[in-house]
Amino acid sequence: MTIALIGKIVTDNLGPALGLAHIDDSEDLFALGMTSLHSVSLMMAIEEAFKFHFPHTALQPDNFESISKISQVVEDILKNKE
Amino acid sequence: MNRPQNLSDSFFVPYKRPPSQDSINCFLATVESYCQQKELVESFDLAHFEHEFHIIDGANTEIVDGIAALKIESAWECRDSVSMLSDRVIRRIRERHGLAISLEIINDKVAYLRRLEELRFDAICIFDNYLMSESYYYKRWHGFSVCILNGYDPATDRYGLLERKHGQSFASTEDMYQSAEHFIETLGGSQIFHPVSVPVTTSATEIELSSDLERILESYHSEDPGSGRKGLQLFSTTYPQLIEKNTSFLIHWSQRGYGERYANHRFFNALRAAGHIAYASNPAHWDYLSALYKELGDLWRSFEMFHVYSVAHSNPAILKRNLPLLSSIIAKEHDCMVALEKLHASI
Repeated sequence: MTIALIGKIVTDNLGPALGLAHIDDSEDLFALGMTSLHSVSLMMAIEEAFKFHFPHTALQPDNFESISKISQVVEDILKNKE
Repeated sequence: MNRPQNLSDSFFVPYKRPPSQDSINCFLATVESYCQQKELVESFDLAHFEHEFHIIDGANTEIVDGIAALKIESAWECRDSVSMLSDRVIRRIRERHGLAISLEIINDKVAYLRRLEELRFDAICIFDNYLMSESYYYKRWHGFSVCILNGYDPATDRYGLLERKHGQSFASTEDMYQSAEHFIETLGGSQIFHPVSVPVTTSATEIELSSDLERILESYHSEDPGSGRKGLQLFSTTYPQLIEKNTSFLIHWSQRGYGERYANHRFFNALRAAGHIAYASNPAHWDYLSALYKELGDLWRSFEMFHVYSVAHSNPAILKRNLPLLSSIIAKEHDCMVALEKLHASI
């Protein structure tokens, strides 16, 4: 569920900028051309969708490198919120 | 970024390893990527062990045209291309990786573009960020960007420019002329960098660490209020005052914070892989230092990302998220220096 929504957010945010219609869950987003600016926009879109703020300890580029990695981090944050 | 998006993209050479975020700075990220593509070097991993922090005008809380008056400097003062190419890091690239970099300056815009054509639109050149539509500098400020020119499509009149901050960008002939004119006016010419292979004179196992450690530790403990530990304290005092102004802003050279820490992470990993004697004497401590540099790189990178976002989206509120990051940065910078002191004592 989380991974599907993250996949949609990532594709909606990065797809047009990178000229990609589909992004695989395991693809390295930085290797596809995600810049620093894209990654903060993506982070904001995820926060908006899931109604939380990434703690500053989670703000590591590695945590935003793929759809699956982001989903894992988001699930951990949601679990800790419960 | 490098995937062909339409037929005309076949004019632009895809780069397997585009300019990397974990490189020393924008200039060397670009040169390294270009040289990897040409198989001139595998990496610049052995070139960089630098960790000086200097803050210039550190108590100044002014923000002028979206840029803080205070500036962060490393030991590498990139005043201009000529002085940059005589820096210690560039010498080490030559000695340890067998790569020399020379500079060609052309003071006529037509001759400059003709020269790029002679090079078959395959070169390391400079471009003004003011003309780069992908940039947050676009139509706001002039900026100096070292780019890989990775092709030209005559059908659409697009020059392909590839660099770390903005990825793949494009410029028209008119943009290229305007950029060249700007640099001819401000720098006396527009520039092309030429890398060339030379013999390696220092192997990884021969790298001497003491003098670098002494220089770094001396800088950290300096009595200068703008350097090292005192400089970081001054920065952490001034920074919240800048945030209170509720204005989006950039800090000149804050990206070097992450570039240089990541480059040190790569340096420690490369010496470990080479079996350097200092690693063999205390592998656990070496691995701890390598991990610390990775963490510091991540922290500084997040810090800089919020600045870029704040300016690009006119969102000053997001900068408040840098306050806890800065506290972590100060603590980790100190941990790192304690670890370097321990390393210095052990070699």
